[in-house]
Amino acid sequence: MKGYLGEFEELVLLTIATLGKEAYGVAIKEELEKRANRRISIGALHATISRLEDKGFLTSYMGGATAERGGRRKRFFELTREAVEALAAMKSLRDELWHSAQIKLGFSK
Amino acid sequence: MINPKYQPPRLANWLLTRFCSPELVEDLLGDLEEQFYAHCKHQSITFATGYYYQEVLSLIFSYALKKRKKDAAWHPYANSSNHIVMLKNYFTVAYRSLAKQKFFTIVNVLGLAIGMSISLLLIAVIADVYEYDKFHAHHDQIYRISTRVADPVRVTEYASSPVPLADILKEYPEVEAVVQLDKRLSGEVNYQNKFIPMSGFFTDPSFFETFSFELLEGNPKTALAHPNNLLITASEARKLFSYDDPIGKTVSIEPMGDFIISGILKDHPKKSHLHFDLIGSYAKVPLLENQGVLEKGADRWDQFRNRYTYLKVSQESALAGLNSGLHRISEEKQAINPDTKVTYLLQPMRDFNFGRTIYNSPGPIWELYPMMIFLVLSLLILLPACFNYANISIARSLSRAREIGVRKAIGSRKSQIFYQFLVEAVLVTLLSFAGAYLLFTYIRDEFIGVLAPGSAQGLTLQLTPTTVLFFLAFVVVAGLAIGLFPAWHFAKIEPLTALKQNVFISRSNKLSLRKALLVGQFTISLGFIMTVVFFIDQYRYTLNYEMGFNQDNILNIDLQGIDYRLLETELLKMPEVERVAHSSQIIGASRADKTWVMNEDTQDSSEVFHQFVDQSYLSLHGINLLVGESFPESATHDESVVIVNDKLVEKLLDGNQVDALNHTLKLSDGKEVRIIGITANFNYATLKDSIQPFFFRYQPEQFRYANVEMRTTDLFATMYKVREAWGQLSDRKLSAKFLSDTIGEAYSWYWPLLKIVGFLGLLAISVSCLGLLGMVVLTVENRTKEVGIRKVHGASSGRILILLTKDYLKMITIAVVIAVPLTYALFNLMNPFILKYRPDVSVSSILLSVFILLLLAGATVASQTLRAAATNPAETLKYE
Repeated sequence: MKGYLGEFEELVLLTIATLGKEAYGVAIKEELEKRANRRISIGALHATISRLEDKGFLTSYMGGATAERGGRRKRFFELTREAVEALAAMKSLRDELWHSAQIKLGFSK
Repeated sequence: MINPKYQPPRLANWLLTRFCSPELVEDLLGDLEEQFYAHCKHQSITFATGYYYQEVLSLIFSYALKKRKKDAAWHPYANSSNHIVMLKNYFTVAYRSLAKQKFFTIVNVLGLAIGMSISLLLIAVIADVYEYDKFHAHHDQIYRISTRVADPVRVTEYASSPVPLADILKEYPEVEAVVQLDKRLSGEVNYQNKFIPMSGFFTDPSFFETFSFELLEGNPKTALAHPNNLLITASEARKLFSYDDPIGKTVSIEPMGDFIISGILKDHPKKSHLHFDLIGSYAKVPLLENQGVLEKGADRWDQFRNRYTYLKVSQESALAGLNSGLHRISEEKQAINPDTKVTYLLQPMRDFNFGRTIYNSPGPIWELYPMMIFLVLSLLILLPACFNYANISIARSLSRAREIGVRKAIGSRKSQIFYQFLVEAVLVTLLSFAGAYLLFTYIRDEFIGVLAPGSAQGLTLQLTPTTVLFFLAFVVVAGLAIGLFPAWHFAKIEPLTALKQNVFISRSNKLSLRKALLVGQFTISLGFIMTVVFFIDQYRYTLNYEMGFNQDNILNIDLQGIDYRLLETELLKMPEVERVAHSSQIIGASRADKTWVMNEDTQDSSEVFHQFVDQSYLSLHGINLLVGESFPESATHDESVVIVNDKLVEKLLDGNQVDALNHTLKLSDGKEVRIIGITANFNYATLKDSIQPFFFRYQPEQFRYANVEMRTTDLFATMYKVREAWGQLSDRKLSAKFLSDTIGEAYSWYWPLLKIVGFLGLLAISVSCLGLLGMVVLTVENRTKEVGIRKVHGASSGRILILLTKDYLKMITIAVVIAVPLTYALFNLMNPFILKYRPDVSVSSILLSVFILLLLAGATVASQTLRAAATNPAETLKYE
């Protein structure tokens, strides 16, 4: 695995996966803020995205020109295969730990 | 719904685009705007604007922006972090550029080697001093009690301390061991008619527990059990006993008597503050004191010379109790006299050899002040050499600029250019280090040679792991230091300007900085030249100084304990001897002894210098009496009269000579003496000391020298006669010297001083001339075409010479204008510490110094410009 995946990095990757073809800056930010219920600055988000690009977990491409946003293009992000593998490895590790946890962790819903 | 009335804050956008060009952050700007209008829908415009600002700020400092800029600016490979490959490349390029410009490389390496050599010396000295006493296993637990004596005139600190202190300190629980040392174990050791002068300490067995000195033979616990036991070092034992086994042999040391060798000491490391050939038992000291051989001091608080108290302390934290204990003892025992305050201090072993002035120290002391001067001097040599490197490097930017432009244009980064020049500088420094080390090995022995033998003790300046480490650190730091400025200068060159035809890198501005550096160097060089010339001037002056007494044809004979009257009778039998006088000291050659005179009105005492002489002393030395008379022919042994100098009358007795006559002085020991004569002021000590209140006293038991006035044409025969006369009275060797010689020798310290300053001056001048040479060669090179064109248009060789030399002449003139008053002022400021009576700096010596500088600098400049001026323009222009 290429590099260690931090908690916020994992969240960003999963959010991008959730958004699918619509994963660009503001969308990722809003989705994350809504779901995780925390305030994220655009600088922090893009810093993390840049790091993920460095690590080879994300690629990006520019979209077409838009009417809103002063005609500026959007940059869309996509997960790479490495990212999917890393996320899967992370999930299986978690599942394993949840499964073998000796303290009862389940929610009573 | 977009309301065109609201716009994202333009200032924020401007701010963002300041940091990053807009095309790089198109998507981000879009995101920001989208967010802004979303906020405008639900929130106030103020909120939206504030939020916008916040986001912009968060972006400006984010990694995202940094990365985009980096990616946009450089080829992807430029950013790779493979430094090893680049490092290799830096070295290759540096090597090629150094090899291509051999002349400048040689000038730089030579200059830096000279500049660094003196720094290496300083580092070696510091490393050596640092290693002193480190061989003791408990060196961080060992302390010494020093004695600080504060009298009304000065505060003096002694390394020694009174003997009774030891018993009090033994009571402290934190003190593991107390070692008492008594330095008075010295003399000629006699074994089977072999006499070898040796010295050492009386001490107790705890000596071996505390210090890491070793015994080759004998048991450290019992070897000093008997008062007559004596330990001797292996090398001295070899001298004294040859191949006999020394153990159990009896040797004698006059006047202490017989000793029995009970052990052999391993020769101690040289880097020890304690030096000894012998170790005796401390139990012998009270015996010798009772016999009257040594001065009593066992229970006296006012006797502390040559007696040392060392402690081994259990741990550092215990020092507080010990310090307050010492403070209490200091308060209780004030034995000397009411004006003097005595304090006992705890001195850790690391301070034994380095730091403040301490008298009566058993080992050499490297004082901070001279070391600082040494540091400043080595910087004065090193810095110009570094300047030269920067100077020449930058001056060559004309030829290097294009190379850098091309490098930058094909993707080299600022930091890479920076590193490349740094590597070049480090390479030059390494080469110079080799040269500097060679020079260092040469000056090392010279340096140890000119040091006073005392302070050179144990100083080897050999390579040790510490020294090597220090040297390496120095080379790296020096390399970085000299490379930093040129590297920075080249890194910031804009590729566009560098590649454009006919660039010249802001000529006037940079040139003025370089000029300033050259002027600075010549100022330093001239300073050194002037100092040497002044010192020589001063040395001549001191030798011819009118001291106020006659110093010719007077032979001083050291009495060495024989009766002066017997010798006088023998000497007067010789026809060559005219008169004989006696004195306690040799006049004008050393510091005079001093005593205290009580002042009746004010109850305090004044410091007065004195000397014991006999009736004929004054007339023999031609010392004039202003008022009164000399000692009466029938002077009694009971001292009752003195002859004072005019300064004493002026300072202590209101200056009236007539009133002063017959005035009574009360001495500090309670004696009252009457003034019978007043002499003119004369230099009773060397010219280092100013003339202070002084008086002659009459006390025959204090006489140590016979002063013999002779009229002789055959010195050799006369000396033979004197030696014969002496031989009838004593078994010892005659020790006699002419007064003028003794006085001349008192200034022999001028030679090492001159040698050091002269050598440093030579280094400084070499460095500056090399720097100048580099600059001149560059100028001539850069102006070859100009010179050619000028000549074609009819300029004469002379005019060309003036053209090329003018600038340098101007710089040297400025250096002279700065250096002359500065050196003059510094010399006048420092000189009172060297000599109290000295000549004024003469105009001729200033002119001579300036002439020497002009000659050297002129020769350097002319060597290049003459050739350039004489070149046929056809030669230089034919390549166009």
